[in-house]
Amino acid sequence: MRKMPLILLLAAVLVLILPSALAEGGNSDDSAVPGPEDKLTTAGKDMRNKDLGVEAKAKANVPAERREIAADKKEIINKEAFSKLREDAKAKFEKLRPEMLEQVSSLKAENVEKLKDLKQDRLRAISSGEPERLKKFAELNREGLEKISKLGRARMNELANLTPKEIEARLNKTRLVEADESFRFRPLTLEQTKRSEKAYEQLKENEEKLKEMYEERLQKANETMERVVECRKNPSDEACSNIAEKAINASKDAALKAAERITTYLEKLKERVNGSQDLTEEEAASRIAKIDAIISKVESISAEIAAATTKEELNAAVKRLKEALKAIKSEGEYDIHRITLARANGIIKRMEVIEKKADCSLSSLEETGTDTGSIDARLDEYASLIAKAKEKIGEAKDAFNPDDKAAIEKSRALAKEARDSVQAAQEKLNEIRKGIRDLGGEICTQKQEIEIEDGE
Amino acid sequence: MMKLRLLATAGILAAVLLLVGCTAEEAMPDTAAGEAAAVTEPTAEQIESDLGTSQIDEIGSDLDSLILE
Repeated sequence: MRKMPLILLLAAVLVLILPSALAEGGNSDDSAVPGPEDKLTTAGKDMRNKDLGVEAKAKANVPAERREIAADKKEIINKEAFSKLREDAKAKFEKLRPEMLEQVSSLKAENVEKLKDLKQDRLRAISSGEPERLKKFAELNREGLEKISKLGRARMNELANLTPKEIEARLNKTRLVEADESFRFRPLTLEQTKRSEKAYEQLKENEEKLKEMYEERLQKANETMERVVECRKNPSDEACSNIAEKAINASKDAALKAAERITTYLEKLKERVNGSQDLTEEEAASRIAKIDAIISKVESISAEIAAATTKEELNAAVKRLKEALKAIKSEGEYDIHRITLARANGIIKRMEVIEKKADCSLSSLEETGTDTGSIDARLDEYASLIAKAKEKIGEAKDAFNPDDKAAIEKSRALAKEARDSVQAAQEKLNEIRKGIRDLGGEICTQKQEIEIEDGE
Repeated sequence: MMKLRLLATAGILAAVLLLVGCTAEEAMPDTAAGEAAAVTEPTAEQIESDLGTSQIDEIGSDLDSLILE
C-alpha cells in the first residue's frame, strides 16, 4: 500500500509522456522510410527552415531582381508573336524563363497560338532547346506538336535533325503511354514474380542433381565402350558376354540423362522469359511457344532413345539429339539477348518517367521565379546519357547473330556500354534530385507520358 | 485504494499495449521491403552466366562419344 503513490506517479508519467513519445515516434518513422519523392519534400522543407537567416538576407535582393525579369517578360510578351493570344494564354508564356520566351517571340503568331495549348511543363520543355528546333516543331500541325512536346529531351533533339516528313513518320511509329516509376511492359503481380523465381530456383536445384547423375552415367558408358574395344581383341573373355547389349544400355542411359539436362536448360530459359516484366506480352508468348516446340522435339527424341533396341536405332536417335542442339543453342543465345536488352530498355523507360517528373518539378519551380538553369543543364546531361544507352541498345540489337560467337560477344559488349550509360545517368539523377531539393522543390507525383516506339 | 491500484495497473497495461501496437506497425514496412528484396530481378551478367550455352556445347561433345561403333 505504501507503494501506491509511486505506482500512481509512474502511471501518470506514462500517460503524460506516451502521447508525445508516440507523436515523436510517428515523425521519426516518416523520415525513416521515405520514398524518393517524400525525401525531396521533407528535405526541401527542412532546408527552408534551417537557412531562414541567410534566406532573409537574400530575399531582400530578390524582389528587385524579379521585378526586372518581370518587366523584361512584359516587354517580350507585347511583341507581335503573342498578339493573337488572350491574357490567360499570355500568362502561361510569362511563366517561362526570359530566354525561352525570347525564343517563342521569334515564331509566327499562328505558331505561338498552337503552342498555347501545350501543358505548362511541356511548353517549357519544347522551348528549352535550340531556337531552330522550336521553329521547326512549331511548324507541325497541332497533333504533331502536342505529341512531340511530350517526348524526352534527347528524342526531341534527335527529331530536330529530321525533315518534317521524317518527323511525321517517326511520330506515327511512336505511341505515348501514361506511366510512373514502376512502369513495366508486362507487369506481373508480386505472387507471379515470387512463383517464377521459386520455379527457377527449383529448376536450378534439379539441374545440379541431374548433372551429377548424367556424369556418372556418362562415365559408365565410356567405360563400357572401352570394354567393347578390349572385347574385340579377346572375344572369348568371360567379361565380354552380352557386352554389346550392355553398351547399348549404358549409352542409352547417358543419352537419356543428356536429354533431361537439355530439357531442364530449356525450362530454365522459359522461366526467365516468363518472369521478365520488360518483354512485351506478345514477345514473351512467342518465345515461350518456340521453347515449348523445342522441348516437345527433345521429348520426342528422348522417347526414340528409350525405345531403341539396336545399335543403329540408338545411334540414329543420339545423332538427332545432337542435331537439335544447334537450334537449342541458337534459341538460348537469342533469349538471353532479348531478356537482358529488354531489361535495360525497361530501366530506360522508367528513367524517362523520372526525366518527365523532374521537368514537371522544374516547371513548377520556375513559375515561382526560381532560377533552375543549373539543374536544367544536369537534366540535359541525364537525358543525353539515356539517349546514349538507347543508341547502344539499338547497336547491340543490330550486331547480334545467335549463330556467330563473335557477333554475340560484340552485342554483349554494346549492351554493357548501354548499362554503363544507364548507371552514369542514375548517378546524375542523384545530383538532380539534390538540386531540386536544395531549391526547395517537390517532385511531381502525377503519372507522365512516355514514348514507346514500334518494335520496342 | 484498491480501485486506484486497479486503475493504475490498467493504465500501465494500456500503455504497454499501445507501445506493442506501435512496434508491430513499424515492423510492417520492413516485411514489405523484405518481400520486394526477395524477388529482386537477376542482373544481365547473372542471366548470361546462368543460361550460358557452353553447357549445351559440352553435352554436344559428350553425345559424340555415345555413338556406338
